[in-house]
Amino acid sequence: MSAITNNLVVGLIFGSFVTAAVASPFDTSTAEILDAGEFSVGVFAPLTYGISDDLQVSTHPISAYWNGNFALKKAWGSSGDWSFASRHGFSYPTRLLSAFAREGTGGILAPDLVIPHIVAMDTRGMMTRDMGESTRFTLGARVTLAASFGESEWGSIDMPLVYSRTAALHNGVSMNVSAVFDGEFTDSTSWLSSTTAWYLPGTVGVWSLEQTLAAAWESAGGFSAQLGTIFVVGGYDYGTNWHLLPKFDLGWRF
Amino acid sequence: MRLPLLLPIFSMSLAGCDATMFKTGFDPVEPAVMYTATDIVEAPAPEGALSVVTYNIKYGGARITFFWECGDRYNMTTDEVLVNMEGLADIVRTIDPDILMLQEVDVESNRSAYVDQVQFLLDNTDLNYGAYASQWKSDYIPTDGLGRTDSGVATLSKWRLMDAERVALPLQVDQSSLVRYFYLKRAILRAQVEVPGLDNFWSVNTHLEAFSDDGTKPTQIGLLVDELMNLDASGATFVAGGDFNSLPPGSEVLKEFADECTDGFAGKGDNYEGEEEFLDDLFDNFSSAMPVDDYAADNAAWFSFSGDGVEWTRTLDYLFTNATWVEDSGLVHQDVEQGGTETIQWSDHAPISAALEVGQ
Repeated sequence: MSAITNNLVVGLIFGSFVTAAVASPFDTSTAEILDAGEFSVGVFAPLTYGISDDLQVSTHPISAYWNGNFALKKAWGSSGDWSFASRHGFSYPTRLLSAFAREGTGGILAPDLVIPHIVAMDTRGMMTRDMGESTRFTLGARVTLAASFGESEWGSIDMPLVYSRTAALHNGVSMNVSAVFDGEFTDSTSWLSSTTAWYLPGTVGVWSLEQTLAAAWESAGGFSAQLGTIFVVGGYDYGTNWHLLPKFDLGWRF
Repeated sequence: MRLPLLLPIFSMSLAGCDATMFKTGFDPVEPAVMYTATDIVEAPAPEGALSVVTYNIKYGGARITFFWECGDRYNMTTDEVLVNMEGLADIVRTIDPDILMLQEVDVESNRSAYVDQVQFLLDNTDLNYGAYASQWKSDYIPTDGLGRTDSGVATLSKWRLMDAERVALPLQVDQSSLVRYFYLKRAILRAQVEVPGLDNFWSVNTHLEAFSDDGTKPTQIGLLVDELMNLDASGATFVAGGDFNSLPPGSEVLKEFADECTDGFAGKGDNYEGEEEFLDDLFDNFSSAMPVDDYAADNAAWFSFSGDGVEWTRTLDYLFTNATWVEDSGLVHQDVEQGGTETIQWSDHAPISAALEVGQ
C-alpha cells in the first residue's frame, strides 16, 4: 500500500471515528428505531439494522476491524407525548488508537506511546416528543464507562469532538446531556439543531459544549446527504478553545 | 480524479476553514503576544553597556534526541520539560542579560507538555517583560503525534517592550501545499525596548529557514537586512539576533559535519556549499558581535551548534547592531572555560552574548 493510500485509509478511519457520534444524529439522537428488516449506512454513520420494530443493532463497518464495536438500541414505548429509547454500545478501541500512534502523516498520537487494552461501555437514553406537525424535540443523556488493562502511557487527544469522546478512555467516565430539535422543511428535506453539554471528570479540560446545525436531503430511493456545521467550545489540556467544523455525510437506507 | 489533484483541493479547503479549524495562519504584520513576569525585578539604567544575548533553546528539549534529529523520542513529559527549563534558566541567570532573544520557544505545545516557556523564563530570571511571535502554530498537527503546536521566537527584557510586532517572512515553496499548510511560518519579531536613557531602541529577533533548497533562506535574509536598513534609516538604534541557519563568511567546513544526522527530518546532512555569501550584507552593513576576522582565525571558538551534544560543530547564531559593541565582548558560551558555565547539555545551541556600548 502506498504511503498516500495508507494515509488516506487512516484518515478515513479517523474521520469515521471522529464523526461517528455526530454524523448521523437523525439515527442516534432521537428515540426513533428503524423498521424491522431495514438497513441504513453512511460514509461516516454506522451500519444499522432493524432487528424488530423496537430493536436495532449498529456498528461502524469502516473501523470495525480496528475498533471492535457494536450497539443495541431499544425502544421502550411511549408515555403521554413522549416516546423512550435507550442505546447500549460496546467498543474495544485499543487497536484503533494504536493505529493512530504512528510516524508521519496521520500520526494523531506519537508512535512511542503505549496504548493499554481498553473496553468501553456507552449508554444513552433519549426521549422524544412531537412539537407540531413537522418538528420533534429530544432530550438525551449519555454515560461512557471505560476500563484499561496493562501498561499505559498515552496522553489526551486535544482535538475538538475527539477530546470529549476519548476522555472516558483515560479517566474511566464521561457524560453528556443533549437537547435536539429536528424537523422537516419538505417531504424530502429536513433540519436538525442539537446542543450537547459534556462533563469530563478527571480531565484538565473538564467540559465541552457542542452546537450542531445541519440540513439533510433524502431521495425517494433512500439516499441521503447531510451538510452542516458543528460549533465546539470547551476545555482542553492546554486551556479553553473553540472551533467551527464542517459536518457532512452521505447515507443510504434500504 | 487523481490523488495529486486532490491534495491541493484539500489544502485549499483547509485554508478556507483555517480560522475556525486548525488556525495555522498569520497576518503579514500582527501584534506580538506580550508577557509580564509574575514578580517584577526593578532594573536600574544600564551603566556603560547593555548585555544582549541570543539563545535557541530547542523548546526545552535539552539533549533528548527527537525523531527529527535521528532519535526515537516524540513528546516530552512535564517533568522533563521543567527540569530542562530550570537548566536553561540557570544559564540565563548566570549570564544575566538585559535583553534576551530566544528561538524555538514553546508556549502551548503538546510536545513540551504545554509548559509556557516564555512565562517560565520570565518567572525564573531577572527579566521582566516579554514579546512572543509564533513561527509554528496549529490547533492540531496530525503528524508524528505533534498535536497542538505553538512555537516561536521571544524577546525578553528587563525593561518594557513597546510596539512589538510579528512580521511574516515568505514561506518555503518546495513543499506540497498540504505540508506547507502545517509547516513552520518564519517571522521577524521587532520590539521597541524602553531602556532608560536610550531613545528609539529596538530589538529584532528571528529564526530563519533551515531546510529549504528553493531560495527561501536568502530571500528571508534579504528581508531581514531590509528591516534593519529601515530601522537604521529611521534613526533607530537596534540589536538584531537569532538563529540564521547559515554559516559565517570564512567557514572552513561547509558539509559532512561530525554530528551529522542523515536520517532525520531533512533526510540528508547539512550542506552549506553555495551559501557562503548569504550573510555578506549583514556583515557588510552592520556590526557583528563576532568579528569576522576573529572567526576566520579560529572557527571553533565561535561554534554555537552541536547536533550530538558531544562537541560544537558550526556557527548558526548571530548578534548584529547598527551601534557599537564593546570591543571583544562577543562570546559564545560553550562551556566553563569559554563562558563560565556548561551549556551543551541544555540545548543544541549555545547562547551568544555581547555588550552594547550605551551612554557614551
